[in-house]
Amino acid sequence: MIHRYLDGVQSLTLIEEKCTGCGRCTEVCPHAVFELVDRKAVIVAFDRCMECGACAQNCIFGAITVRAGVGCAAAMLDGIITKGDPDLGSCDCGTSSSGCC
Amino acid sequence: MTDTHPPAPAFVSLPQRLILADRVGGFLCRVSNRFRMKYSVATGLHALGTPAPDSPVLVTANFRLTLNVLRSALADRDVWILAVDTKGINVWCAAGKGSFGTGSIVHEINSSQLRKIVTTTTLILPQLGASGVNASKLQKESGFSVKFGPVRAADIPAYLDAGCIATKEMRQVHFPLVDRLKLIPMEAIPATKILMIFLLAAATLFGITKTGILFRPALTGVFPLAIAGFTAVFTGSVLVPALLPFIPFRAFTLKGVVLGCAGAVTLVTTLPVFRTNLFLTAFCLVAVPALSSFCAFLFTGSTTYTSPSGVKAELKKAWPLFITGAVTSTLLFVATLITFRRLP
Repeated sequence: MIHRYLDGVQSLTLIEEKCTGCGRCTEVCPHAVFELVDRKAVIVAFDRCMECGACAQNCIFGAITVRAGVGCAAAMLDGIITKGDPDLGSCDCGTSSSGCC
Repeated sequence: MTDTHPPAPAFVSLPQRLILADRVGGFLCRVSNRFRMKYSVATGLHALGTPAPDSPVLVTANFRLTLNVLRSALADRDVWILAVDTKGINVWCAAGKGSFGTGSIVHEINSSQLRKIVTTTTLILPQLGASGVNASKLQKESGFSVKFGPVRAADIPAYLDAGCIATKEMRQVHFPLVDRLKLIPMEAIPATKILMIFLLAAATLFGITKTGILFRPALTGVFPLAIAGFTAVFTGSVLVPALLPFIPFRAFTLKGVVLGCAGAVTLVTTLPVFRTNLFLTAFCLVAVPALSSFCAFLFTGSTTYTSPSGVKAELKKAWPLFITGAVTSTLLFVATLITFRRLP
């Protein structure tokens, strides 16, 4: 059973010219978003991207960009309430320091 | 004279078979945040079985539950395990927050004097650590070549046997029922705690009279509210995680509304107490779906597939409805409270 979240909202981009076809993105992506076609990475399942950032973190050619983060409503609400920014929150499932998820 | 020599390289031997205490610890991690946050192991090198200098080196977090999963998956293998200081947080979350990262792994390689103990030249990292680790940078800084192992520890033996090659299937994260069920307590318990505070406050309001707080009206007044509240937490924090892929809609807020409405309608049609007061009926029909929706929305943080952009998009649409739901519920509660007082 493949779970699907909202379509078409993700921030993932792939610049084809920069891709050297090393395949690292296909290795690290936990949702099989990429595939190698003719020695180039191709986004085959854009809507499965959860923006974890593993691909961009490991693309040494800078071909992939994504606004990486955790898809956590509690963290987002915390960010809005305490800092006025949904991206700066942390969820309260951890008691110490930056604890969590 | 002080001793300036670095300490001799050392490692800790891990028992391979899980014992009862490990299983109890695993259970407690699922029900108590406080316990989970302290369920860590010493950082540094651990030996599982009797590894040779050229045995595989697996890198992981210093979360004891993670170590236990590795131990049981690799019960008949001899491997080295390098536990990085993630403050006892699991690999995926720690990678997202930076504590399982290139720098912390390099630090652990150096402080454990890994090179003096092993001759292996490859480090095997958990794939889910990749969001925090730049493999090529780690390779340059550590001198080890870096490979990403499979997502699940259970696949590691097959991965090793295949010469460190993961199948496409091994690289994909799933979210099966059994994993979702494990997460339910940490959804339902905190929600129940907050609900109890609200119910206690409501009971007090129902019980207040000129002569003090009376137990009987407090109890009869809060009783239907408690049933409504627990129903909402049950549908939002228990049923939504359990039935996740089978509930209509992809947005978690809508999944919560669907089950919350079903719960509210069930209460109103089957329990006569919800029909004694029109305001109470309305309260049940508004508050249960709203709270259920909110509880379901919070589950996004525990899933393996929700994107922050998606959660943000959902929040943008849902927040006016959450506010409306909260205000309407409060007004209907007050109306219920006032009319309840007028009853003989």
